[in-house]
Amino acid sequence: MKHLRILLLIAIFFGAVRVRADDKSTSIEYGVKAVVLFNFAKYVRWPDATFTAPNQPIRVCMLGKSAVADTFNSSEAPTEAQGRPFTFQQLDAAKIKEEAPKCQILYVVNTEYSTLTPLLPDLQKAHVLTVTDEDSDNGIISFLIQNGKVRFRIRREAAEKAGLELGSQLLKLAIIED
Amino acid sequence: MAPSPQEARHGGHRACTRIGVLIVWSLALLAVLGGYVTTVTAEGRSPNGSGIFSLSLAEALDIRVDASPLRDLSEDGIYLIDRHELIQLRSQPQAWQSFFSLGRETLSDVPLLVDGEYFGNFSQPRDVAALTRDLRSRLVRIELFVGDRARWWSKGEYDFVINVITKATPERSDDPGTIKEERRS
Repeated sequence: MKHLRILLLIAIFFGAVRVRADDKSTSIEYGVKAVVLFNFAKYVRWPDATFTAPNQPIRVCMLGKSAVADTFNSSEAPTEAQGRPFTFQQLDAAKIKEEAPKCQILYVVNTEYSTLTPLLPDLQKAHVLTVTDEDSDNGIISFLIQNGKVRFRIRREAAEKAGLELGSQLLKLAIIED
Repeated sequence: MAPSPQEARHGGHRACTRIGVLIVWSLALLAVLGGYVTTVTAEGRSPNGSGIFSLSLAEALDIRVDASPLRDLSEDGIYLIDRHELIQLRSQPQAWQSFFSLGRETLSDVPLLVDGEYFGNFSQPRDVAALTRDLRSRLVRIELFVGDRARWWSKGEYDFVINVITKATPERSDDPGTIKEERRS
């Protein structure tokens, strides 16, 4: 019994060491996309009614599996945007209908595009900035890779319909689709 | 009065037990501290993020996501790792380590200079891992000297030389010719 206790404590110790070990590595593309998503949180204006309290966080949510989550889950991730707490959450596809409208930014991985389509009207009413990769026309913003670099395309009409104001810092670096 | 053999054995057994308990509690304390350090680290995060999140939007969009930091080094010249790839290397510790690891494998026996001073040789990487950890925050540029320029730097000994610049260095007045900076895309 004493040996078991010792083994358990050793296991806990090495578990703690692993927790302190370096974060998982991510490919640079996912890291860049995470940075760009964070900048969306910095430079998009939501209608005033979106936030009911001064400390209500800006939530970036992700539907589907992507290494972008690893970057947001690392110790380097930011905790604040526009003076509000900044949070990242991986959504469960089973709860998407209830949870997605509570997000300010929803990044949808390509395996979940079919889940996104029927939600679009509700997401628009909830002023959610929808972000997809380039092989979808359903997001307000789509990522694409151009000349080996990450870019993003903005559908301005879709942004206006969702009541979103996109800052000039985004517009000047975006590919605009009217 | 000297202890009996039985008492001596019992005393020795108690000492071993105490040492064992001490080891067990030390491990437990370390485990707790490990969790505490993790918690403190998480709570001490910068609100604006660090690492790759310290990049501006323009900088992030300027990073090549398809590039390898190592290039074909078959041509004579100086190959600069440009600023954006430095940002990439800075924000991706594993890419930085891979860069030097791969260098060590494919460029065996290549000398490594830091600010023009000989640091070590890749075939005997004296603290290369520690060096890369230290250099990451101070890195200005990496120069890869190939061919004649490498032979000049290494006094004829090597065809490749890697020079890591951490501070502005004056131009060498005894350079045998014009050093033409060649950027490789």
